[in-house]
Amino acid sequence: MKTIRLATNFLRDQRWPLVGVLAYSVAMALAFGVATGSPGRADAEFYLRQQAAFAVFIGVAVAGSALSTDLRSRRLLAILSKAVHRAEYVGGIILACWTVSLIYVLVTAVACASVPGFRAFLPEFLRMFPAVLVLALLAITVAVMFSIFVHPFFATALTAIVLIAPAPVAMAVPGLGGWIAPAYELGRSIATGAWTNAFAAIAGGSVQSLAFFAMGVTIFQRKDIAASAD
Amino acid sequence: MLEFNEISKEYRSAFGRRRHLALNRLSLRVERGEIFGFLGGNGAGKTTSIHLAMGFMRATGGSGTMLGRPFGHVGTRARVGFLGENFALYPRRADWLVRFYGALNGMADPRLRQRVAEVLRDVGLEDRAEENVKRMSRGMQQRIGIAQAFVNDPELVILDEPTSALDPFARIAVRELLVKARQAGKTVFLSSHLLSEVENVCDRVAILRRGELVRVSPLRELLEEQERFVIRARGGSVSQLPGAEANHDAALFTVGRSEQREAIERIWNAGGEVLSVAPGRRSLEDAFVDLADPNRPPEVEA
Repeated sequence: MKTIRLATNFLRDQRWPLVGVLAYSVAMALAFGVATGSPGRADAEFYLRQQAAFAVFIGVAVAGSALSTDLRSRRLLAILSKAVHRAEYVGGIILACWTVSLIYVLVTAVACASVPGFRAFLPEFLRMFPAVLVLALLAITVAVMFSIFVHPFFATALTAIVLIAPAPVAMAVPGLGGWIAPAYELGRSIATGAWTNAFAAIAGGSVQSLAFFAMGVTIFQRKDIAASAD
Repeated sequence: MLEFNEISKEYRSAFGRRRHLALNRLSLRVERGEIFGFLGGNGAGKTTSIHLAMGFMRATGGSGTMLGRPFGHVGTRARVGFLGENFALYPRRADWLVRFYGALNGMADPRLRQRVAEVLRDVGLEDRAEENVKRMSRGMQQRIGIAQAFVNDPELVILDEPTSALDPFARIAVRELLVKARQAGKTVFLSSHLLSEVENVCDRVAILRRGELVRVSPLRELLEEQERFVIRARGGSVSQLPGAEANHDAALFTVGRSEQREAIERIWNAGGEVLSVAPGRRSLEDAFVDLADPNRPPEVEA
């Protein structure tokens, strides 16, 4: 319950940036769907895959700076002076960032359903949902973990490295790709529409998200979150 | 209630190249039902001690307990109120914010709703409950900070510079709040540079200097011990005596209670005449300056 409360509080801070990116998503749908009259398959796929990538990227961008903003502003002290476990706080941040991604894909889906030219491609977009949401969860969890001890910019960069680095291994061991490099496999599925390894990647991504969450909490519990102000 | 046992904290830079011992083997015990003043100059280790107690950071050595549990125990914090120095609030409505912090301590309606109204009234902001705190002055925000610290009706309240931005009226209100808390059997741990505030409300004080405890004492005892007498004398060579301060046609000597007889005898021996001996009660500020002066040589300690 406290995790949800913390996530809700964090989301309130993000409402205007979120409105901005949602407006962008809707505007893009209108630009593609209405302006072109009847978009072709290539246009629709480009739009939907781009929006799927944005959903992940936006979640990571918010996640990278979330913790450091609270820490620098000293608002974190007031939170952690209450009966709140650090795991609940980290969980709240991850949940909030993931919700940002979720809202983005939902609004994109609504935009897709509302624009006549895109309606035919809605089932394809809905098929992407689990992959997009698991990829977002994994990327957000890794970004939050890094943001505990490095600058948000480096947290985002390190997140990209950690998610992409196992890709050569996954390519070398095709059967285990979804478990070893779920981010790569999920990204590939979203980009190409090939869902052969998607189930393993979704399962692998979920497991890795849990592992990175546990790592993040462990690091956060050992971190001094307040410097002396004497 | 709150106990520090030989607790130390050393700050280290990346890769441990630079080290700073912020707190050195602090041992301290705060009893139930007292208002305890925690004093020290800048960099003395007050905030570090408080942050250790709250579990925001881990001690390099030693240990401590809060309400009988080790520092950092999450469940215990539901029974503690905290307001940190330079705190920041989310830009929300005042009542929403206080309610949010209460809920994080596991409180629920109708008790939470009632407490939010009570604490906002106690800090004098009941009529501004629906206003966003970002539009409030720093002093009002500080009052919201105090309200959130008291919302869970805590057994122990830890306040780090709670009145620094408050006007005199708000300070009086906070002082009354602290006294009311003590009357209700609660414990208040108050770190402040406003020594007059501390002098007005505290039962005991501890003074830190450069990370070390130099004094723990009941406030009354500390002030009595620091009691000074002003001896006014003239004639003979009294103005040549050590410690003489010229004052019109006389010389003034400020001495401790135990030094009175010796000082008067010196005046007589110098052929002088004692005009008056007046008690000059020293303030906490005088005692603080003596004890907490970071330039004071270590061998004079304790």
